[in-house]
Amino acid sequence: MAFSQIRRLPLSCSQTAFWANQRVLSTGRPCSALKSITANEHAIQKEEFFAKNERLQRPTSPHLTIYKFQMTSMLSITHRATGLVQSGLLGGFAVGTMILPGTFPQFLDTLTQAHFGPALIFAAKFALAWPFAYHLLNGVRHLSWDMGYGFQMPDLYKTGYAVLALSVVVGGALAAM
Amino acid sequence: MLSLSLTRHVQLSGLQKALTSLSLSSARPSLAAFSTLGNCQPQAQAVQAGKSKWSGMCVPRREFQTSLSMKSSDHVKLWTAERLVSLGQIPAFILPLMITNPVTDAIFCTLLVLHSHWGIEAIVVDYIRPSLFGGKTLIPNIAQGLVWVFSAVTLGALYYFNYTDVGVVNAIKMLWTL
Repeated sequence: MAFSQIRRLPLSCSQTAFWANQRVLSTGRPCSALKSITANEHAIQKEEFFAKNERLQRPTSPHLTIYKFQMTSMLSITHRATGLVQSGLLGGFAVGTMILPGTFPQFLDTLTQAHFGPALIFAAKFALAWPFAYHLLNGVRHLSWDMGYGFQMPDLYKTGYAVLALSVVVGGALAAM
Repeated sequence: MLSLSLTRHVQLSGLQKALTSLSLSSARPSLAAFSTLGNCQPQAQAVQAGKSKWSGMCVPRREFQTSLSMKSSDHVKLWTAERLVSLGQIPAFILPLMITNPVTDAIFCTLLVLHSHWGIEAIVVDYIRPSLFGGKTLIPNIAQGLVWVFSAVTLGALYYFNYTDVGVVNAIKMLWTL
């Protein structure tokens, strides 16, 4: 009974060894993680994690391009990207206003006189508002993780899609203001 | 709400302790050990009890460091400060829009640059790391120095804008009237 329950778990043999469950060990079934190893194999297993990865020229985490694209990791990367872009905009704005001649109202007058159409203005505002909305909403998601909530896989996906949809709604609403 | 969050915090503290020990105890770098996060229950029992497959699991632990320097030892306080600033930014967006004056402008800009600084720093520490430069810390150190320069220049220039021009919050309001 207990064994059949364990067998249903999607674990590899070596993973099962981590659980060190007495019932796993007492089943009598051979498990590859428990087989005896040669001295040479032992030396390789003792090799320092980073040294081994370097020897095998493996890419090390964090890494952007080696993993399968998943919704959760894409949202995480987008969170950092939107933060980085907004930081860049903030720094650019700060330094730009200091270096460029004229005051901010004068700069705005120039923009007004350029008579951009409402569509272009909406698009520009959305381009500013969406990263803000996304980073804010996903930031709340992160804070809830920091409090210990929402770690279940289905919750991760639910909140992820919710943040994505809400960010478009909030970004659009802000851009329409 | 507060007591609930405190309880959660206590539940997490095992994990936090483990994470802290990961980054602080690398003076003994080759101690690869299997240790537990929180209560280590046998997997089958956790499943039988109707809990998640991940509750009370044993995980392999290997000691390593993610930061360049081991001098700063108060990661927990820094972590908490980062979260408090993030949380504080939600009212710090709303309040300055309602009451726009030099004080709310300054609060707005300070929290923004603090948050941006920690965010960029995290990205730089992650992606410009010594192992990508043959274990040499020169370029990662320069990159982290540049983050400080960027943040300092940005904050200074924002304060300057608040002092000499219409202020950042008013600038956003005016831009949005377009």
